[in-house]
Amino acid sequence: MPFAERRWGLRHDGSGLLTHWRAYLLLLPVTGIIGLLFGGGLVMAFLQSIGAIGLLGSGQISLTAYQTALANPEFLRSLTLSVYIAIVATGLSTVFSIGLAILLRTAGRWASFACQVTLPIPHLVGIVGVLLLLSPSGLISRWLYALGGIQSDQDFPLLVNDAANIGVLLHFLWKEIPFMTLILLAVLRGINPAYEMQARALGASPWQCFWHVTLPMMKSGIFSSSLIVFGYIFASFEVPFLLGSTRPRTLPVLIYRAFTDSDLTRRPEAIALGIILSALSMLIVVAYSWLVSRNYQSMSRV
Amino acid sequence: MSQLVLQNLTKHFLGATAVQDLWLEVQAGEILALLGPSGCGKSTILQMIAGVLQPDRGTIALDGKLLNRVPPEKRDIALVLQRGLLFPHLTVGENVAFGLKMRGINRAEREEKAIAMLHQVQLDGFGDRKPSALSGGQAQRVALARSLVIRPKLLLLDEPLSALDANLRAEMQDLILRLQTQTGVTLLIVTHDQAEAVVMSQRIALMFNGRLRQVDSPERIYQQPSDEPVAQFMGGVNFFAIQAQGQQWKLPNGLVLVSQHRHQGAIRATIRPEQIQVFTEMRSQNNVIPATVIANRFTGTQRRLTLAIAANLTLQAWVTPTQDFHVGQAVWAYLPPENLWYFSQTSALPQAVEVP
Amino acid sequence: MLRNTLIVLVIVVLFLPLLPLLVWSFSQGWFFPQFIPEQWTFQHWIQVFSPASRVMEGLVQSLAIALTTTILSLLVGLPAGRAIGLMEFPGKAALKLFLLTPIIVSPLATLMGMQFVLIRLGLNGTLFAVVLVHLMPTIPYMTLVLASVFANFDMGYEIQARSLGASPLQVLSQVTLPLIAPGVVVGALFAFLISWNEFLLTFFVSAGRVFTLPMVLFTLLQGGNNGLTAAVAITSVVPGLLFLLLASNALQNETTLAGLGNV
Repeated sequence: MPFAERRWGLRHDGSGLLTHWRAYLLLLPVTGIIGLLFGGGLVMAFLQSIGAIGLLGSGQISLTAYQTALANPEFLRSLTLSVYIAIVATGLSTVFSIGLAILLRTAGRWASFACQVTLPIPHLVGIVGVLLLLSPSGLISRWLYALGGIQSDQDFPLLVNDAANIGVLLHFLWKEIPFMTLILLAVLRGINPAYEMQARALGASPWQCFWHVTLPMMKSGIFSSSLIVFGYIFASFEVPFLLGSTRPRTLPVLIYRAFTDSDLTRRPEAIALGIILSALSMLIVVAYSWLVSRNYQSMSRV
Repeated sequence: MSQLVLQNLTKHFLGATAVQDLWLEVQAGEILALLGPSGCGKSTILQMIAGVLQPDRGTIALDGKLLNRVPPEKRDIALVLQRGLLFPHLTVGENVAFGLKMRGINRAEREEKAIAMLHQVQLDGFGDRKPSALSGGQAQRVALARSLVIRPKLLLLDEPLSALDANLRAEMQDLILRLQTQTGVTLLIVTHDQAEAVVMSQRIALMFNGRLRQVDSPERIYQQPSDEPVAQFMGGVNFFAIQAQGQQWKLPNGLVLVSQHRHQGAIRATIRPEQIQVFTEMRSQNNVIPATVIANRFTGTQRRLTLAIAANLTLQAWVTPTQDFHVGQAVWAYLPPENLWYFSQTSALPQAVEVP
Repeated sequence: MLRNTLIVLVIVVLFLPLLPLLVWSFSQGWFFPQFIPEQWTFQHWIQVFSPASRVMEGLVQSLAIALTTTILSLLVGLPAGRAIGLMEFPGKAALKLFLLTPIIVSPLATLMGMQFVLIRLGLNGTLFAVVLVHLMPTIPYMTLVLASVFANFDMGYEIQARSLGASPLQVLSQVTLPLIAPGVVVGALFAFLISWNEFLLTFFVSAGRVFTLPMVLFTLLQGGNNGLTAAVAITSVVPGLLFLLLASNALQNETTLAGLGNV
């Protein structure tokens, strides 16, 4: 192994925990704050949910909150809905983002910039836009009416607050595709075009080249951006609350309702549900890292 | 007294040793090449001398002053890295003046010195350009200017020419040597190219695997390498077994060569390919042996012949291309006694190692 | 040609939801099936700027919180990003995963726990509390972006500068920071936007005393005044858009963004 390698000095400081003290010191503020805020918050919530502390906490540890939460008939339906929305929205976003990134790869600066302008628009603003666009009395409905497609606003298909949560899905697509495209475009542009040229020179068709060379090289980018998007959608509150079906509700909306219920005895149940939601999300993170490590074992990193 | 003294210098990386017990002395105003294959630890030594890497053991002293605890910016030693690394956010002029700015020299004087230095490297008028607008050769010159303008006592160059095209290299070699003459700075050059080391330096310190093998003038390393790996690294290609009886050296096929060195027993002999002379007719001299041409390659400046001497013995002879030979031709090879060198197989220590 | 058509189509679809926003903000009573509002008015916009609607107040609070959050996350993110980008150490992969958790895992439970503590500490409903919770999603993004910046940073520059006589502080200010500036801008952009657009986190610790623009918007969304809602919505987009335009140069540096795809 050459010692005068790409990076200088500090990277190879020897082995052992003590010699890495510099790195750990630099990381202390970040890990401290996140650990304290996020970890601490979770711990506090957990303690509340088992009754150890809290408004109604009698100091007696019990799992009644969890029992009530899981016994709630809405819970399973909410969970299913949350998973359904997250998977469909993430899946579709990923596919479209890959496509858009490929389109933009060879386009000029203005094209990619234009596709990213909507990024800073908050979800709430997007929700307003979607409502004004897709509700029965929205803009699209009026266009259809003007074109003679429908006779009244009641004829317009229900896209918001509907059982299939189409409005929700469309909103997430609208918001997340530019985000994922931004990242995937950067990943794509970082790929050495020589690989694809070589593949074509060896006889691969454009599709084969994409499927067997380009796509695998984008794998880690796709994994991590879709993970971020999935996690976000799964935990999203504002969007399903304002655009989604009233029954069933997604899990975060269910939790919100339970927490803000005037009946304060529902609080521990809300917190228990919240803990369950967090646990599920963490499961996803673990599953992802396991998948990725398996992936890297079977294929060499390019 | 030597200007730079390295004693017992040792550095480990992740369990492996990069540099082991290095002892070296460099004189003021000298040009020394630190030569060795990639990964042998020579860049590590430069980094330790410059102060950007701490040795695990050993001392570094400049003009008698111990440098181990002195931070790099106070060492009066300038290091030029392999990639030049001109600061992309500064102009060429600002790059050259950088060291002066760090020393608190006022703007007017900085600019004046920078312009003078740019003139010395033949880049007049380049002061306002950005590094991205420079060619490789120009960037390298700016890097040199940048480190010389602060008048360091010691200039360390890490593979200064390896990233340049072949034709630029000669030009840059001349420039570096000229600058060294003009400024009198002590120059330590790290390179893996033995030809470069030979051209540019007054002394070569040859390293393998973190240890010094031979420290000598280029002529002596060429003519009297301390062992076979050293000889091979310096481009030697002729190595053969000899039974030595005093000055009579017996080849495997029975023929005897006369040498200037005395030894008794089995040895490995070597002779540089450029020193073998090839005759088309027999000459009655010592050390003229019959051979057959089995390969003939023209390199522009030389004709490289592979000669078969005996069943298992071939020698390379590199002659001037004025005469041509054909494969299969019977010739006579003359191995001048003064150019024969050897390594003793029995002794553990390399021959003629110089420990300063 | 096909490619350009597709791209234009995508851009049109992306901008489509903004269209009704613009029109609604100037309309008075725009009913189905009217294509164009019968009556135009500036009333909504006047309301936005009037102190009575407290929209401007919300904007100022949002701005203060977002700027504070950005600066704080920058301060802690820089050293952390350097460690991750330039150094190897045991537990690095686990650490990167740890950093991802606030972004991916639902913050609801955490918020409920934090609210409990903040109430006990008497900090609930303060700007400080809001900044604190906003740090949770912004620090990871900032750190990951900066890690990518540093990973592409050649330490040789710092070594060269030291050798030329720069002290560590001079190296930082004269060499390192100028060279990582574009990446810092991208990280700051992310952090600012996240904090600026954040609703749920703010809601949980606001206790009715702090209200940011998203909260104003949320309340309006549950009412019926489409015109005012549209006007406030447009208002909340403007600062983010401005920041994006200013940072557009830095966003072209794709190596930084590719780092987000490399967790």
